[in-house]
Amino acid sequence: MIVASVVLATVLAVGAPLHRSVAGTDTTLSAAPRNAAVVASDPKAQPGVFDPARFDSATTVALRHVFDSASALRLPIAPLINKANRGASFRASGRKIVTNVHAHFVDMLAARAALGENASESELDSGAEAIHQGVDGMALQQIRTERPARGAAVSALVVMTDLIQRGISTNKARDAIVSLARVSPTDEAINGLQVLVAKQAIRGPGMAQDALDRYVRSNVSGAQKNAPNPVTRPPSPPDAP
Amino acid sequence: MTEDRILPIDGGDVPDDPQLRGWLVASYRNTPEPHADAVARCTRVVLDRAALKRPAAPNAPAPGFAARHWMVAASAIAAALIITVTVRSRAPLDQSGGLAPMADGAPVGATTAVAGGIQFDLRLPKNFAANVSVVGDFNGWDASKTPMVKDQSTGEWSAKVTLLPGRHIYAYLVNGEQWVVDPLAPQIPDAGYGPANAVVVEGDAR
Repeated sequence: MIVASVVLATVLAVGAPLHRSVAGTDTTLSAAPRNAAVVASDPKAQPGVFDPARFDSATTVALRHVFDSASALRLPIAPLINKANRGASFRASGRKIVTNVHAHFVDMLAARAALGENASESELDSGAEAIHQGVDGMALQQIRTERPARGAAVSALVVMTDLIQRGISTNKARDAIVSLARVSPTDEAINGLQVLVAKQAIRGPGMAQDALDRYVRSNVSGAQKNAPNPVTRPPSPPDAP
Repeated sequence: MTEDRILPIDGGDVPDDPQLRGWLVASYRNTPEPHADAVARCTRVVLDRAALKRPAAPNAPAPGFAARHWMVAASAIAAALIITVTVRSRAPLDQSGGLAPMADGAPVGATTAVAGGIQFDLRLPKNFAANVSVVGDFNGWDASKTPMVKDQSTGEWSAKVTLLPGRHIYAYLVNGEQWVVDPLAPQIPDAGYGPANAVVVEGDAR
């Protein structure tokens, strides 16, 4: 029986990596672009609503304190409510929910200090997640410099957080996002990097790093090659007397 | 047998006496043949004594199932553990909690901009799910608000949601108890809750 168990384990264990290697192949579900970011707004969409019935009384009181603090500092509370609702949906403990919501509140303050008072709610929310992942305020300021319009930094912040989540180092993720944001006014290159790294990360963190390096190198150098040459017109001669 | 080899007499301090040796040899030679009954009785006694010295009597209670059948028990436990661990490793959820791509290489999820909203698509292994919901910021993380519909021809689950511009966090809830994320879509820190995806809707900043 022991021999049979070992044989069974060996067979199944050998099968698992085969399963994963096949799974790493690249296909698409549909012809439509993944994670497409377009579409119009709709006032009927449901904003985050705080429902005290989803939490115990002590958690509710603690959460209300955090919300009140955020309101007093003119921070949007919808991201905090969403954070709490998510914890309730995942059946997290009240202590963990309060801890996470409070940490997000603090991170949003830091994100606003870096992104500016004009930052949108989504930018503050995304920036707070990036800071939670270890990104410093300087990186957020660099992204803001490249994406100065209100709400324009959301994709860059989301992708940078995702890269770090997938094992890319914080500095490398920051440099990649800032470089791509600098060479392209749209988020197409940044979203392309996210898809590429996500696919390669399935094969291992080293593959993801290599893919990121190649992608950034090709996009940045390609953009510089395609950029119009600066006008080098010779100076006009001084007017003849 | 020779006489000298049969009787190696060690007299200690007493020196060997050839006369005494002769008497002893003679007495042994005159010993009568043992009776058959005496031999049988002696044999029975010896066997009985030997039986009493056994470690445990045949009718003694067993020391325990695991001790007596430790090999069988250990093998069964090992097999159960190996099968459990292996089946879990081959289940669709990977280490990070996300749904690993299926064996045919197709991704399991996609978010697509469609007219009037974002369409969430999710492909799961056959007979993996009886019901699926997309749950996120946009519905207050209420699993009952946005059930997904299964396309019987393709087996894909889909739902269309109208979203405000900005970033939205979401995850899929399978059979009301198992959280699943799209492994290729942007992910956010799980904050100790569990993994989740993000989708960005462009438009007027809020």
